[in-house]
Amino acid sequence: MFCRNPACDGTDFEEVPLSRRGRVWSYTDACYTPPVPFVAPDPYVPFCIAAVELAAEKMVVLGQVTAGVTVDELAVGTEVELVVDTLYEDDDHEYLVWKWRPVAAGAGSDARGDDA
Amino acid sequence: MPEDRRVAVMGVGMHPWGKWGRNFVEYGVAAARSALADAGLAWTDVQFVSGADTIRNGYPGFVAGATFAQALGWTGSRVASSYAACASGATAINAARAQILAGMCDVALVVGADTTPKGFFAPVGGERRDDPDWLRFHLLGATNPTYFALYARRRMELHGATEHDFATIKVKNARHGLANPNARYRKEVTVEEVLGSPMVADPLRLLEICATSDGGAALVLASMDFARRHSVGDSTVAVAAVSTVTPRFPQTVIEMPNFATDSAVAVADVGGPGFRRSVALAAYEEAGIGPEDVDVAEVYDLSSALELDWYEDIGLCKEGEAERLLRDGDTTIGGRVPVNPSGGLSCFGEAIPAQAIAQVCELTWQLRGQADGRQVDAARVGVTANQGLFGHGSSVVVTR
Repeated sequence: MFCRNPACDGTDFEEVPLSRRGRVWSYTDACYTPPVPFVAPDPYVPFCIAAVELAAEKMVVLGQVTAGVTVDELAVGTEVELVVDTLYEDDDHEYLVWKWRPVAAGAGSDARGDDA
Repeated sequence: MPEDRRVAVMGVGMHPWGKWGRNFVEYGVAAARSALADAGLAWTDVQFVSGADTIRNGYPGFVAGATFAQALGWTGSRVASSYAACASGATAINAARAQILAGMCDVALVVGADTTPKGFFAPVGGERRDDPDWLRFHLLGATNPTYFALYARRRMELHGATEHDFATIKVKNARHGLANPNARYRKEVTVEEVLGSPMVADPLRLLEICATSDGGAALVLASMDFARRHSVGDSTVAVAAVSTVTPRFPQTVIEMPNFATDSAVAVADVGGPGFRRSVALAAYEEAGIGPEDVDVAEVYDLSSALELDWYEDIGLCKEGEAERLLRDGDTTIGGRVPVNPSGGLSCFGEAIPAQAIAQVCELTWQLRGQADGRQVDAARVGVTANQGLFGHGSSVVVTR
């Protein structure tokens, strides 16, 4: 690992938790099944992807949006929060990934958000 | 008076784009022979071969310079092979230009060609959990159109672009490419047909996202002195600048294949021009010109919406004014500064290592007045713009 700042040659890293909430910078959806190595459910269910701006960190982080949210429910500026959710499952394991969930939709989602 | 850093474009050639399914070497050799014939030179006159690599055709693609040289017949020439994703062609041009400007050779041949699979570009095979290009597919399902769509939606929110604008770009480029013998798609489309095509990545539709194609393109570059002494045809077109810059830290716009931008927290000054804008700025500075001097441009319309971003990034208008430029017809042939008179990626589809070279072929034909059926009036200065995955800028200024 290397620091991305050209003015810094440090090699010691400190783990810093990022903000769990941010605002949508932009968003889209995946109407067609993405190619391998994406592990798609069968039948395929389209999902949204959001680029989310974290104010304190001054950075934008991409993530899938939790299942069931369509582009009609997203806008630039929508407040979202990070949840840990299923990426895919096989016989032995459930693989997890970060996802974005609209704050307003939080109550109805079955993503495992707050206990992550 | 700054030192003359131009190199002459003595010959250009292409193998038509399509989905031919043949070996990429065939397209590259056809393009090279065509460029040599255009220059009035023989293969044995070439002192330096600069290949643009393809990574989807096995080992011969990784060493494209030698592969093309062997196919043309070994001559003992100097050789190099370049890979820089979509910017591979510009990097290969730059390698040839540097050899010529350093006085290491007089005549260089630049060749790029590709044979591509159908559908979305997937990462190259294998499980590579430390490769962001592998991870973005695995963890996010983020294809290339995902990123194009993020920019398109952002543009709609920030600058009031509409789906109609995006469709209009496609209609314009389809019309531009109608008579281009090297274009893969030569068919007019209407706004209604574009807006009726299936949504791929909201707000982008199938007809607004560039396909992947087979094709080949080649240039014969030479020192200005050599060109003056040996020209048989029109060799007054020159490459005046090649920009192959990286982004600057912090990169605050999300770029393929990354999951996140740099954090701008640690840096006081983030007021730079942004990566895409810096690509053309470096080329203008090197050529000693400005965007107001440009008569014609070939930009990377990976999506129809992305062409609007390029209008601003290459300085044809201020930020937020691209829609007006389009709506006023300024970028249509016959307008103030036509963009993608070749038909662009919209009519070609992308043949990755050939594409940046093809952009220079088109500008050369435009500047010579040989772009039959798509000629921009009295064009004397042209610029290309393009961007390679992971941070390879690509912009070439061509003048006469």
